[in-house]
Amino acid sequence: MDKIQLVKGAKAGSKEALVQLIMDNKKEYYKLAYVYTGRQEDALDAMADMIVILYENIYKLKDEQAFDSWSKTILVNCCKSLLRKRKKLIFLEKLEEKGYQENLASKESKIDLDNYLQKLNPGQQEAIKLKYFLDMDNATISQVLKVPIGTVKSRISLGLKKLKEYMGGEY
Amino acid sequence: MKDIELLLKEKKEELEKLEIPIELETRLNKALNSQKPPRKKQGLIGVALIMLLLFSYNFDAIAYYGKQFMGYDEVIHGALKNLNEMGQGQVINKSHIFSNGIEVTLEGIMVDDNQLIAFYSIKDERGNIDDVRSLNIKGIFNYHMSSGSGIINESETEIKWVGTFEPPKFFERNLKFQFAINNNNTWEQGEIEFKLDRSKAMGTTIKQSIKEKLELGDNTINFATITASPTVTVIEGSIDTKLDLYRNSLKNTHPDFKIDFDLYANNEQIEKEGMGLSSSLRGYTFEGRFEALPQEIDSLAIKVVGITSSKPVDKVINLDNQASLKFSLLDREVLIKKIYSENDATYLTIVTEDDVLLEQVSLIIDEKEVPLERTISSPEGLIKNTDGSITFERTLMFMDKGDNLKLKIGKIRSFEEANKTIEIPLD
Repeated sequence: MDKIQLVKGAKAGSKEALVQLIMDNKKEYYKLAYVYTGRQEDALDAMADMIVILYENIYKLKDEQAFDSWSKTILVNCCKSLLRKRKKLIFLEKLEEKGYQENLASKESKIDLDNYLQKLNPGQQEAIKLKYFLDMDNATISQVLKVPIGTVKSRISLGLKKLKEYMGGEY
Repeated sequence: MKDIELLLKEKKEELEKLEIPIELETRLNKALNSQKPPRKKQGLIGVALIMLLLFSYNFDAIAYYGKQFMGYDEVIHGALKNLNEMGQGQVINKSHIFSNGIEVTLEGIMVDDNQLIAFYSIKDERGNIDDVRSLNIKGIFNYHMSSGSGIINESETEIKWVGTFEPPKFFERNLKFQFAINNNNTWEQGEIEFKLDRSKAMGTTIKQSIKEKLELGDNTINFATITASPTVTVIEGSIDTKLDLYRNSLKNTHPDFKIDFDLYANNEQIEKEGMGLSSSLRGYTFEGRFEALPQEIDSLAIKVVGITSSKPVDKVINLDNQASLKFSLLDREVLIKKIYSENDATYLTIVTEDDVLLEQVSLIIDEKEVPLERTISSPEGLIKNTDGSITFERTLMFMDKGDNLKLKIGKIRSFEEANKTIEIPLD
């Protein structure tokens, strides 16, 4: 079925249509959730949270064409709130692991991009991930994150600059 | 900086091979199971929500106006000096107050051939600034809001919006900025009338056909038009392809390729703001949006970087001797460097050029088809060879082992370089 038809169906309250809308693009949604959460289980949780919010609010969506960016914005917000909850839960665990991680880092001569990415501020991190990992262009990122395009650009360029600094002489 | 981008790219390729858990659909259905149908409202709803989500491409361009119309500078970013010097745009400064006290003020507008941009604010002491919906500009025809961005003050009593609308037709003079609020379940309409002052409209617009074709592999790229207004430059065109569009369209899948091109004015690259591709049974159409062009232009050129596409190969490779092996898929070389098994899993280490990605990969182990479990980046990852080429090494993991191995590859995704320049004549 045509996507617009599906959006209309979902707006009319069809759960099947809504699930199909997501499943038709499951890779994009799953990758987006995975980029934020980094874990399969959390990515699935975030998507389950997302679909409930979509279902409750889709009748408000006037422009069917906007379904993609609308739903992705909601998914990003679900991921973030899930991570906020997780943060409180895994705090202790993280503390214990630190020694081990440091040890590993000093042994590894190879640069671990994830470690460096984590040092960036959250805004820069997500802008870089969306651009480079999910291939979104600046305009799409600004739509999904609801920040002006100029901010997206400056986050990316500052983030890249910082990454370069962190990597020091090696890169 | 390039090397960081390589590292980022490596991560991306890893992600590209992420398997989607099979339980996803069940999880989604389960999450919805307990949901009751949402309540529905009558009439005009939901515009504000969409407006928040849809951003225009033009925020840089309207920086000047952000400064002119006080308080909008945080909504828009960057600066376009040329535009600033032009000092155009029309101040309106008229308000409408609804019966419940919500005040809408249209502070000013900017018009060019690509769009109308409205600067307006919504004020309410009780903070109901989200209640204004269904924004529209009405003349002889109706012009809908296509996107917008707003900023709320700290006390949440005022929001300043920059909204873009379809451009009014050339004959339009008297326009109405219309909007509505839902006041106790009845819709209350409001409007602000204004006269469009064409002399204050934004400078001139170059609209020109390009009519250039570019053959690239199985595809023909047609660059149709360039529309350069003071706020944005839009290049439109279409792609003829031999790929199976009909089937893609039936499956409602996204276009599985991407076109990339840059715009140069006076030999300097113009910042790219967005690239869109849409498909229909007739083919693909694309639109590239760039920042506004400089005022003085000596030369204008499109540089086509290339196309990334997936093509079916449907190949089964016999891996009998368990040794390394080289083969070609549509002229791209794939090297199987190592085959080994460990803990009931089989691993294939493969090397390809860095833009090549195998899709729909599975391993037939003793006549049984085993899907790709995941791809592990090799420690070397992207390797720069002495001849300047970059190869990408990774290991494919399949959750079974056996003696008779066959690698099955459905599609190959690769980048096809074009590196061609199309000069756009300036008169």
